Amino acid sequence: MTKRGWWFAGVMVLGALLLPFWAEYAREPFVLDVIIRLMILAIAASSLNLILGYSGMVSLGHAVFIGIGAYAVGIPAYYDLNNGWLQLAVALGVSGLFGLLTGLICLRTRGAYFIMITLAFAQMMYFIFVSIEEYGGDDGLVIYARSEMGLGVDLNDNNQLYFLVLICLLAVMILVHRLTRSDFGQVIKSIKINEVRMQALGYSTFRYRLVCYVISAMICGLAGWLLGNFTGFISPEMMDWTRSGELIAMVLLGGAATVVGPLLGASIFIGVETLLPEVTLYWHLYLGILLIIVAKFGRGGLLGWWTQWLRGTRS
Amino acid sequence: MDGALIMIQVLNGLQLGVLLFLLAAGLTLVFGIMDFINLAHGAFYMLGAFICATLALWLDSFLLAVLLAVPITFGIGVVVELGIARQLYQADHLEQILATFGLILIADTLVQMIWGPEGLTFALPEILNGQVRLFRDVDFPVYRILIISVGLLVALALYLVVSHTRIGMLIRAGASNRRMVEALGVDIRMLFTLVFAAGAAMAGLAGLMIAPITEASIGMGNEILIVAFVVIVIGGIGSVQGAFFGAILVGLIDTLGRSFLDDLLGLFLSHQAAETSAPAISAMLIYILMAVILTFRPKGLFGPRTS
Amino acid sequence: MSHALEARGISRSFGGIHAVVDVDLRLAKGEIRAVIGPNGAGKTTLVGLLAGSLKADNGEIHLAQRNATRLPVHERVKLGLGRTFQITSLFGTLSVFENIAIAVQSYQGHSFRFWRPANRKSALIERVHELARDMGLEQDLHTPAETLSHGKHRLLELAMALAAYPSILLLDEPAAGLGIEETQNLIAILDHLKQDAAILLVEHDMDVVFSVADEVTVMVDGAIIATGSPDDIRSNQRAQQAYLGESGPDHA
Repeated sequence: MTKRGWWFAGVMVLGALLLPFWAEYAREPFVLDVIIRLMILAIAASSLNLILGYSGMVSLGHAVFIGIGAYAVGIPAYYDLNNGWLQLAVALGVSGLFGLLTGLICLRTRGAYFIMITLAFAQMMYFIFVSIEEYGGDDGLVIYARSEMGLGVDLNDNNQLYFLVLICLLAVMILVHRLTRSDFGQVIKSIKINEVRMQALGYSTFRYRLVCYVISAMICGLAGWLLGNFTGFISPEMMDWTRSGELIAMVLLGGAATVVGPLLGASIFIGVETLLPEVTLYWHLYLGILLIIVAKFGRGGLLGWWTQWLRGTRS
Repeated sequence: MDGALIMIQVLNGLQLGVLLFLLAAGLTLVFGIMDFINLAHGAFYMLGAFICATLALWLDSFLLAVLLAVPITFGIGVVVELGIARQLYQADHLEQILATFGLILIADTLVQMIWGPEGLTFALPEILNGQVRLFRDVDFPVYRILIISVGLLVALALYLVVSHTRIGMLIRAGASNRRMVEALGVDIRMLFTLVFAAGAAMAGLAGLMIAPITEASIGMGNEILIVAFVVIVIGGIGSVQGAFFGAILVGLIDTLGRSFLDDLLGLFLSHQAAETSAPAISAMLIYILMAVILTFRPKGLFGPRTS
Repeated sequence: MSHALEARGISRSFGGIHAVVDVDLRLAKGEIRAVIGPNGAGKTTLVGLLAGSLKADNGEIHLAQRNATRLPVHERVKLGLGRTFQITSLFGTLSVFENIAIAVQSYQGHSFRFWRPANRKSALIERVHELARDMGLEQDLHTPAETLSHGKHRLLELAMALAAYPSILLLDEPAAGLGIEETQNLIAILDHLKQDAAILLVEHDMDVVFSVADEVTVMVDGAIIATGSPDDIRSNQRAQQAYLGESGPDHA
């Protein structure tokens, strides 16, 4: 990252740290809610970016892990098990396990088959939760108590939840940054470029792709755990395939295979979702048009345009 | 479980099967020939339903509405192909997903602008509303029989066209080797438009046939589309036969699983356990089927055999 | 004498086409065996079968005394196999350094490290420089691979194949498209390499074949029709007709 980049990141983090105080002062608690949601989606999009952007696995079922993470709050809470660490362990464990089991099947396939199978497995979970009436089925489940973390942390305080989400987001971004530049990251990026060559160099590409897939699943499970706590309500709709489509849109809007891209994409998405409905009832129309434009002209997403523009003005 | 109930559920499974086939046929051809993943294919299903419902209310004739709605959906297919889809054939799958996801949002919003957020229902004509006696004590709705018959007829027609006509020869050739078709000097773009629009029309037919039973509603195509994806993955992408057998298989297993799994599980488990686990397991059945098939045949039942 | 590579009766057909038919092959350390034959003789399929990217319908493949018939590509690499591709297969957007580094990393084996930055370990850097020096690529370490000249692509392929100190090397037309000087350079490199490895060389350039090969095998229509020393092959009637005579008067 350039020096300017670090400055920019510093200012952003500082701003994020100060936001709750401003929100309280300006009596705009709604802003905090929007930003919490934005950051959670950015975590989910970052996890998708790990497999989609860096290692070229186009999953159209990633929202399933958000759902798993959220139900890991909701189902224990339903039985009055509110220990946050337990719920977090369940969220990470089950998403990792589901990622492992489905990955073993999905990763045997390539291209369009991979896309459709990830989609199908996600939809399977969707229908499973729809069919379990004990946990609300279609109607979903209200979570009456947020996770209890101990250590003097009270997530019922929106400010504290905000800081938890912020810490998680920063941790995930740092993790993605380090991971993709590590030995392992070098391997998955190279697999994306030329898998056959990687095998000929002695890499069991299946194993690396699987590990990457599981890591991504667990990070997304974390996002789900946060989202369950935040919304206080979970339903199968959270893992509907259109949610997965939105995650893809965020990654590509911001810029795939970059650390900041997913955050940027989530910001655009939340921005559109929050601001456009105030102007028009039919805002989905414009979002759709935006996606088509990005698909047609937007190689590299917003971040890509930005760097191209920078290069253009410099030369 | 008695014989009559099983028979009725088999027919219901067939009905779901032919609807899935009508959706999957276009999907698999468009993917096989143009290498185009169209997430928005379900939009034609929805449009078929809405257009037919509107026409049926205006003209007060279901038959006329159907006869008009199918060509109209075909026309919309032509427009979408020429206007948007054609630009995306060369793009990679990721861009196709993003763009067609955008198309879904646009289609759903347009329908909402035209028809409002509520669904649209309409009544079947009297003659289709009755039941027929299939057996001594087995009654089945006439209309569902009609759906199954129409679906099978379209499947038969499509099979004949694909395997016995020049166009069909080109379609099959296109699915296995695009360059070859171009080498034959055929205007491949015309062929693409035709295939895309025919797929749209079949999806529209499926949507309008189901509309009187459920209703025409926004996003109705998005859920069944995923099952259609499962169908073409099972059958093998690009294969019309695969789409047919996959669709019937999925339709039957899904329907029979939902109706009889609790009884079946009851043979091994306690009544309580069977009752609670059956819905979840039956929701999984077709996906388990898909996983098993892919484990042994990563390219589906009728997919190309490669090493 | 023990063989680094041994293939017994391997066959492979695609649809109805018999690409490789009942091929026997032995290769020992210190030996360069050239496989020649007209286009479509099945040479590249043979390389694929030995490397494991294709599965043999019949026959057995032994690498370093181990039965490798059912092993996937990456397991065969662990047994000492290295290969280059007929059509250059690199990581185009990555630099020459990164291309070689990913190959070295495979050998030095620390690919499940998730946190520390890659390409900082001195052992790795040293080895990358060594390979680059051997192939004459030291000046290009920070150039993206895709912008290199064709000749340097071939050398980079070779550098990557050598990273794991292979005891068996499968080289698929390494001289294709090289200039005269580059070819001479390649010949010198191959001569040097055979001290440590058994080399299978698929090649069309007869100058290269006859200057480096210890043994020559002639393939036609998937089968071996002649095998022997370069001098034997030069005087072998069938080999001449089938291949060397391709451009001669009896070519019809």
